[in-house]
Parts: sequence; C-alpha cells; structure tokens
Amino acid sequence: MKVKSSNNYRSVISVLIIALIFLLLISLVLGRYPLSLLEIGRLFLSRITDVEQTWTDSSEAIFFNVRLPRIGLAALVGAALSVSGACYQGMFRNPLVSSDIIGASSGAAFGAALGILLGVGGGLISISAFIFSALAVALVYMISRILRQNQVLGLVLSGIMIGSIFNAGTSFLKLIADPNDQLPQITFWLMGSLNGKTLDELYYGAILILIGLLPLMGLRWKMNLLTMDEKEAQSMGVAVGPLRLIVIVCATLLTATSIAVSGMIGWISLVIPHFSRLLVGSDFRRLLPTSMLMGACFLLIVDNISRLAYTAEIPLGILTSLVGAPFYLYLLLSRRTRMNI
Amino acid sequence: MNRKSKVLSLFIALLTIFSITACTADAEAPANEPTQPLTGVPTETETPETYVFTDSAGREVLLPSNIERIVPSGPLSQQLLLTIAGDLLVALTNDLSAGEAYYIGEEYQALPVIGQFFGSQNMNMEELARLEPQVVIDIGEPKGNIAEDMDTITLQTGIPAIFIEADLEKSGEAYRTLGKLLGREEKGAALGNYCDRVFAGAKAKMAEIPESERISFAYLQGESGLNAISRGTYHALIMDMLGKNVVEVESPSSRGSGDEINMEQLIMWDPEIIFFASGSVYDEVELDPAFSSLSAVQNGKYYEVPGLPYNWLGTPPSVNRYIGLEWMAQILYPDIFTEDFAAIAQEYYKLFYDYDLSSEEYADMMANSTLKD
Amino acid sequence: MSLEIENLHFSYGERKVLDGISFVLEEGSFVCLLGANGSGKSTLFSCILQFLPKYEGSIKLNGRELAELNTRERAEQIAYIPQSHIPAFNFSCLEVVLMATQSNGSIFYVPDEKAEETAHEALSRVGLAGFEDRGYARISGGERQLVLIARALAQGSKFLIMDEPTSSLDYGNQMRILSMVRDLADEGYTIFLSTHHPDQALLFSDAVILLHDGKIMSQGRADEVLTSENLSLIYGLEVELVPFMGGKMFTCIPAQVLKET
Repeated sequence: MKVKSSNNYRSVISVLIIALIFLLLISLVLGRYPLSLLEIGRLFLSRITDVEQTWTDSSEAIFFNVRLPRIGLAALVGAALSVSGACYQGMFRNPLVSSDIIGASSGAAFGAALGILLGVGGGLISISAFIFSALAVALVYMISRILRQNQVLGLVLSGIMIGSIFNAGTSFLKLIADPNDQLPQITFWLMGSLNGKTLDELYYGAILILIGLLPLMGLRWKMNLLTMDEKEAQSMGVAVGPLRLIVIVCATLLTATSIAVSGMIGWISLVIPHFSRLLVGSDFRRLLPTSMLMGACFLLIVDNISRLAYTAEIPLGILTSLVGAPFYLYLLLSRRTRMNI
Repeated sequence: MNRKSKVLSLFIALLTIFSITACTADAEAPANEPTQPLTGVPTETETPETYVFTDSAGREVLLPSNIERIVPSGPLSQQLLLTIAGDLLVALTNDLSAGEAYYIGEEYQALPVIGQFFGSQNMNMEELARLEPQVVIDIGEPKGNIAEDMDTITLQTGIPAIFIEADLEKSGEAYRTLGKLLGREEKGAALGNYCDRVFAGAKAKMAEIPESERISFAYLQGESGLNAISRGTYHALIMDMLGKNVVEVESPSSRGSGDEINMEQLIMWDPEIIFFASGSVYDEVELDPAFSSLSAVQNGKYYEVPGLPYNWLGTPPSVNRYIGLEWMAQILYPDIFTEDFAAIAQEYYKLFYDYDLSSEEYADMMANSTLKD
Repeated sequence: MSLEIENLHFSYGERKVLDGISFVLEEGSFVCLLGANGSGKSTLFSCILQFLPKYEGSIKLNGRELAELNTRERAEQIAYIPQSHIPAFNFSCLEVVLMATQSNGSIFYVPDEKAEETAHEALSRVGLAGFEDRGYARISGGERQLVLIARALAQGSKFLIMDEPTSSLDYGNQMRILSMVRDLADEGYTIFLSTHHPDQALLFSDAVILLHDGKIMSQGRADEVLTSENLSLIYGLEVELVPFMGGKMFTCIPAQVLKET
C-alpha cells in the first residue's frame, strides 16, 4: 500500500491554508453583534492610518476587545493543541496518546481552580494554571528518570501518578468552593471557553505559542527518529535524551499556554493528528504543518458554533467532545484507518 | 522544501499581522479616545443629556440622564432590578424560575438570556453590545477587583458599567440610589424605606431581648434534612440576628448548601424550633424515628420556610430576606413581634413584586409555618 | 576495520554474564555468534554498541576504544541492525532508510538531495528498488529486515552488527537475507551476526564464535568450531555433523533423528 506522495501533500496544505484564511475572515464578520466586512476593514485601517470614524464605539470595542482576541486565540490554541498531541504521540510511540499523558492538563486544572478559589483576577488565574502545568510536567520528568532503562515507560507511569494527584487536588478544591460563585466558575473553566479573552491574552498567548511551535517545526524531521526504539536511535548517532527533553518542553509549553488561556479543551490533541495522518502520512515533516493548520481550522469552527448557536455560550470542551468522540470512533472502525495506521 | 517554507512564512506572516494589530491596538487605545469615555477622567463635559455618576466603588461614570435600557451583571442584580425597574431590562442574565415567572411576571421570560459576568462567566459580550443597553449594573457586596471588572465590561463593549453596594444594612441606600438613577425615585424610596424600617425595627427589638431569652433553633436543608447552616456563617446572617443557632461546627463552610451534620449532634443540641428549607424533609419528620425524637418535632414546633419566589431566609442572600426577617421573628417571638403577618406579606408582595397575594395563596404559603399553630 | 575485544567482563548485579571474553574479528569477514539462550550473546552486542557501558575490559575498533567515542563517531563506525519489528507508525521505506543519514547532521537536520540519493542506492543494493513509497508496516517480515539492512548501509558504517535477523522469517527469506549478508562481506563489510541455527553458520560464515556460560567455548572456522561435542554440550542435545558434497560441507542433525532413519 503506497504511502501518500508529495503532490498529495502540496494540495492538502494549499487547501488548508485557503480554508484557514477563509475561516478567519468569516469568523471576523460573524457574531451576535453586527459588523460588516467593510466596517472591519475600516477598523483595521484606523489602527494604521487616519480614517474617518463611521462606526460606533461599541463596534470598535467589540471588534478589538472581544472578537479579534477570540478568533486569534481560537486559531492559535487549535494549532498548539494539535501539534503538541502529534508530538506526544510520536514520543510515546502510541497514536492513542493525548497531550494529557504527562500531567499537563491535570496540573493546569489544579492551578486554575486554586486561583479561582483564592479569588484572584483573570490574568493571575491563567498564570497559576500555567505554572502548575509546568510544575506537573517537571515532576513527571524528574520521576521518570528513575526508570533509566525505559524512559518512555517511566514517563507514562509517573504521568499517571502525578496526574491523579493533581486531579485529586482539583476535586478537593471543588469540594470546598462556594457553590454559588466559585464552583460554577471552576466548572465552566474546566469545560473550556474563549469567552471574555482580552487583547493581552492574545498577545501573550501568541508569543508563548510561537516560542513553542518554532523549535518543533525546526525539529520535525528529527522527531521521526524519536518514534524508534531508543537503542536503535542511539546506534544511529541520535542523542535521544536531549532531543526528547526539547520536545517535551516545547510541547508542554504549547499545552500549558493553551490551557491557561482557554481552559480544558479535549479531543483536539488526540483526533486532529490522527486525521492529519490519514491525509499526509506519519512523516513528521508533513504531519506537523498539517496538524497545525487543521487544528486551527477546527477550533475556529467549533468556537464559532460555541458563540453563535445561542445567546448563552456552549463550553468548548463539550462541543469538541460531541464532535471528536464519534469521529474518533469512526476513525477506529473505518477500514482505511486500520490499513493506514 | 520551497513549498513548505512558503506555507510556514505565510502562516507566520498572518500571526504577525495579528500580533501587530494587537500591539498597536493596545498602544494606541489611550490616544484614540472614543466619544464616550470608558472610565476615569471624562474628556467631555457633562451635557444636559448626561451626567457624571459616582458608583459605590468610587468610579466616576458618564451616564445618560434619562435611562431606559439596563442590563444586570448577574443573578443578584437581576433579582433586585426586577423589583424596582423590571420594565427597563433589555436582557436577563439567568433564566427565570417558575416561581419568579409566576409572581414577578411572565412577560420577562421573553427577554434574551445572555449569561452572567461573574461566577460561571458566560456572559455573551457581543449579544450584550448588540442589545444597546445604556448601562450595566452590578449590585451586591464588593469583590476585590470590582473596579477592574466593571472597567472590563466597558472596555469590551463600550457600555458604561456601575457597581452599587447592597447588603442587609445597605439595601435601603441602594434602592434610593437606584431610584434616582433610573427615574424611579418614589419606588426607590418606598422599597428603600421598607428595608431600612424592617431591619432597624428588628434590630431594635432584638436589642431588648437578652441573650438568655433567645430561642434556640436549627435551619436544615437537603434531601436528608441534615445539611445545616452553621452559626456565624454568611448565610446565617439574619437567622443569627434573631435566635440562637445551635449548629456550631469546627470549620463552617461558607457555601449555600451548608455543613453536613449527623443526627446524634442534632439530638444533642436539641433546638427548640427547627426550620426546614422547602424541598427538604418537612413532610416526613413526624414519621421518622430519629427526627421524631427531637423535642421540636414532638412539640410541633417545626416549620417549612416559604420559598416562592425566593427562599425567605436566604440563598439568594438578597432582599428576599427582609420578609424572612419579619416572618422568622414572629415565629420565634410571637409575643414581641405581633403585627398581622398576612398584612405584612401582602404589603411585601405588592411592593416588591407588584403582586396581589390573595388570601388563599397566603393560606397555602403559610400552611406549614405561621398558620400551623 | 577489525574489532578487538580483550578480557571483557560484565555482570548484571551479582550474576556474571560475560566472563573474560577475548577475540578478534578481521576486516571483511562474516562472523556468526552462536550460543544457547542466556549464554550472553545479546549482552555481548549491547556492550560493543555501548548500550551497556559499564563493562570491564577493552573493546577496540580499528585500534580505538569504542567507549571513548561519542554517539556520532560511533554511529559512523558501527551500524546496528535489530530484528525487524512492527512499528508504531507507518513510515515509508524510504523514510526509514533516511533516518540513518542524519548521523552527521545538526539538530535541525532535514535530509537533502544527497541523503535521498544515498537512501535510494541503499534500497537498490538490497534489492528493494521501487519500495520507496511503500509503507514499512505493510510489507513482509523479510522485506522489513532488508529495509533495516539498507538503513545500516545508508548510515555509511562498514561494521554491521545483526541481532538474530532471521528469527521470525520463513525459510526463503532467511536464505535471501543470509545471501545478501554474504555478498556484503565479500564487498568488504565486516559483519557480526548472531543466530540460533548452526546450519546457517556452516553455509555462509567465514568464522564462528561459540559462547557458553559467558565464556568463549571455541572460535574459528565453522566446521572446526561446530563439532558434535561442542554443539551437544551447548544445546543439551545430542547432535551429529553429517558431511555431504563429498565432505566439503556439513549439516547438523539431532542424533535421535539419525538413529530412527
């Protein structure tokens, strides 16, 4: 059975880029608050040159402080989660792995719940989520070093352990939270949302995600090597340890930033790399860019549904599960997949 | 290879464009003053149509003199605004319960529900802006970042947002302020004076009852009837004012659902009077062997708290507590609080909900409490 | 390109696995390593490849102590060909072979045209031209083993260590692999291959090293080393070396079977 050719890859990428641009433009125009494409154009221009103001202040506020950060973050977080999922799947040599396997999500959830319980502002909640996410992964990594013969197994085992400790902590925090105010806030945060995100969060999120993405894009061919047995890789001259560390750091940066900014959005890191593999094969040179673009498009679509379907918001985690889980089942059952994986 | 570089550069270019726009947006915001100032120093002087309002957080906000479209920030604000100026609402933050719809008005169910700003934080800002309210009002106890939070609403939608402080003691003041703000001065004064009068009256009368003569009680809720509101907690405020709350636990929770106690403790404390929340075990206690060993049950001195449209003793901790104050006081000290409660109830429902409480409805409501004895 | 091992000792904790191993592999020879299960074959390979670096003794390739080389330098000298396995991801055969070409590259290495040429040539050399785009997980076991050999060739090293490459293959594939290895040895490659089949050593090898209880029982030409006594002792089974082709070749048959015939 032939693996996909490069012509196929080129067309896939082209289609995805066009789709992403199209989605971005459409998403900018769509919203409960009516804004036309012309108005948006003028608003953009007004930041660069002088343009006569033909819009209301609400329009300007909504566009720059509500819609733009939201759409930017949807694309960025979607890309970040897919790429980190693909990296973890490669590193653990298991296509059924998601980015939570080494505890990043559990740590972030705990950090956010703690921040909410302590009553700090939105920015600090995100910072807390980020810090605990990184802490959890650092702990997992350090503990995994004990099992030196089989680092991958070590990572999985310590990931399970640290993950469950943080999960227990989060449950405890939910128990003592005020059910009128804090508990709904924690619950809603845990279900994932891009509502109310500011330009600051877009700015910091973009920087951190780019910092995580760029090294991974540079290393993506080398990640093929990580999927092999360590001894094989070593015999071919690969320094497996440092390479793995860089991948873990970058992938965790992507995961932690995404969760800190948007809460827990599941299924993207698991399903999107799969789907990308179906389209362009397992070679990470092609898999990473494809996953990135596809993840961005996917979350944009899901977020649009979340904010447009009803007047109140549907949490993103719920929507991605509704879409992701049946799709995943379909992937597992379809003959094409069983031949391709 | 070339293709991929192009792809990557295009993607990065897009991201960069976004980031640049984001940066310049942030940097230029102060220079680009909108015609309506967000907060702080007004760039325009007041016109006959607008004036500067100072809210409870000390923020000076430019508001129109004639306000006709308002939105609450959350369920507590919504509850309060419905009592004074429901017709000015253009949106709700939470769905109305069946009780609320019945007593307060079914017409409000037609309003769009846009989510709340605090708590679950699911307020749809775009929808809010689209409805073009003139002001967003937050009412309640001040949270740490309240000024920032109000500013954020305005930053994201261009709509002014104000905070009005209101708790048990300050609801009167809050109502009068809202009355002036919303052109409902008479109504605001009526509601405000009611709150002040009831609170002051209760406080004064209680001051004359020495500690030793205060009646012991317990407030129980939940399916098992063993979730109690402990003494000294936030939700026990008015209850503790009136009686001796027997429920004392080591680290009481500040949650509305209270602390779980066990039957042995309850039997040990043996309160003189027991209040059950609606939806709890009021109907079953006489047949329950454990509960019926309590003296309050044996003497028939246990009551169900009326709960329509809101629980009279709290949860939500808002103006619904004023009638609760009078009601519970009468039950505990019928010789000291002697006003005709039927008249009190009718006055309350008319004033707060614009509802004429018929005698049958009153009888129904009070069957498990005041009309029991 | 000769491998010199001198007085090699290795223990797993208390258990001594390699006890004073010394031998020399000459350049351009095809040497088989035989021994019973647990005799130390894999451990010997792991020491040479530095997977188990805490051994005592000296392992030199071309006069240089292997323990002193860094990973990259070692990869230039020795290639490791494991048993073919089912991988987690379905890379193309070309992609698998390309993996070995990065041994000289930087951390952001991406294969260039030269590397792709090397990979193509390696695949042709093992007879798999045209397999470039086929999925590695989808081809047969024998073909996968050949891809791994191609990968080792693409790595550029002249010294190949093969760990039981014929274990899970059918007879036809076994013979094909061994013939290929024979040809490579004739071209100048040095090959150290472990196997469980004395017949394979007898048919194809230049020399044999026989391991028993962590010591070298015997080393030298196949027909000199693989005697009935040695084999019977190692495998715990009475075997006879039966000559054919006028005494030029031998084959190994269990004594029990001979008696019944």
